[in-house]
Amino acid sequence: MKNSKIKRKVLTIFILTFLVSNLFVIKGSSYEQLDYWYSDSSQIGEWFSTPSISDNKLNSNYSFYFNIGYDHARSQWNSAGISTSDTSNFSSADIQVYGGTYDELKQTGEFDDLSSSSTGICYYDIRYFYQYYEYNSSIKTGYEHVYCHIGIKDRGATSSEYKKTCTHELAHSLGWNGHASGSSNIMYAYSTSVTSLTSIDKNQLLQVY
Amino acid sequence: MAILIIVVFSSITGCTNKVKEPMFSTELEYMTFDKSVLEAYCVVLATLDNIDEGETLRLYNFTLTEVLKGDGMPTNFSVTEGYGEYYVEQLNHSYTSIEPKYKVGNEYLLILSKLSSVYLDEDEYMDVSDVLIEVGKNDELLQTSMYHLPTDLSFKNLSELKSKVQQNLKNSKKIEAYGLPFSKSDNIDEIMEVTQHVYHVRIGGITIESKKSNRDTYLCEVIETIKGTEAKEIQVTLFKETVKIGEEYILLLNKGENSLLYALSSKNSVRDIEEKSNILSLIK
Repeated sequence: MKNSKIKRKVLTIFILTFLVSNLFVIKGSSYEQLDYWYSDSSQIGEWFSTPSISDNKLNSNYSFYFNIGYDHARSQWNSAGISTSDTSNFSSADIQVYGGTYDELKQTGEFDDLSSSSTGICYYDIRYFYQYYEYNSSIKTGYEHVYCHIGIKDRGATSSEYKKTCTHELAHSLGWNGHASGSSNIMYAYSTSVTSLTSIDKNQLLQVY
Repeated sequence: MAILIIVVFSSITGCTNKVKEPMFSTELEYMTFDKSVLEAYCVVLATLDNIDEGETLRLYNFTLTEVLKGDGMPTNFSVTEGYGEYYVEQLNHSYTSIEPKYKVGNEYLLILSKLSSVYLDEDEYMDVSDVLIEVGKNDELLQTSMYHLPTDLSFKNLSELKSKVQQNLKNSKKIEAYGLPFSKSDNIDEIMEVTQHVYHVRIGGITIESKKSNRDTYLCEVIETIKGTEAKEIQVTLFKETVKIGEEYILLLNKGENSLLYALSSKNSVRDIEEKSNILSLIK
């Protein structure tokens, strides 16, 4: 009888401790409200300080317009108000952007999951959950980005296509999880000739920066 | 009652067992079934034995049943899959690979690319277009999908599918594996036969430090070009911790056209400079 009373007390203390320690995630708490939500994902990311970024073109194919795409992507997001700081020290950059053929990207050891039909890929290498947001009663998860790397595949595309791919993948590394609907947006998931950020592309991220 | 509270509360807060999350996001070029067959390295029937769920990759371990296309397929092989989000151009469709798509014990038709690399212990096979064709015991096709979308491929049964695949493959070009040539031999003569470039180098710094794999890429000062293209410095991918920065070595290498990265021509292609005269004699 005495033992079962002790067991009940211990269990009650455990439950109360568990409940209290998780109070901050109970639904119905007030989270920071977002003004927009254009993504098909429920996640969004952010860099707490301006990330350094560097590019590394792995071949000398003159028709692989990787550098044009990279410069365009940085310019688009810098103009939108989300800056990156270019560095020549590739190995220490927070965002490393590789450009090369399938073989070249694979050889680096950083693209084990890359499929032969991928056109571009962004890895969320290091990111940490830091808070919840709310938009129209729907909870979104916020992440702090710490390190990302991107691969742009040399696929014989036009310079416009590389501008679009690079701007799109850079958006993912800056925190734009998921994709937008509407083919006029850079963050539309599928192939288009769009190369400039729309207000939808920008507002999704600017609201957390 | 206490357990019920904990379960309800956990479901409210999301504090259940940690769910695997996508580690990357990628856009795929769309390919039809016929094009996938033509562009794949191999098309095979195989039975899934087991699945290895790694930290960053999943391996589906298969036993080969029949080869419809491809040379030298081993009896046991693995298909690699990452944990990511995929967006298929032209289909307006996306999916994730967080959950395995194949079931142990079932037989499937697989359409695969192959990467054969000196840096890998085994050849790497990957799906070309996420085709999933489950084969039943009596020539039936139990399910067909591509890119995780149910797809009507208009085959009544396995025999018809095999016949169509073989018809498509008539007069089609052979597809090579990805990756640069390399030798599996320890013998220097055999290694030299597949080596395009030989350099006497001094190891500089790491230009690409891989955080996930067994290799890094170094910038090296070329002291002498012994064979192949003249160079003053080269970028070469080497197994981790096999060279010391500032030291000199003889490197036996291969390189793709226009590539700025050199690859080892074998696992034994980092040679001491004492071997230089022997290597020179093999070239002459």
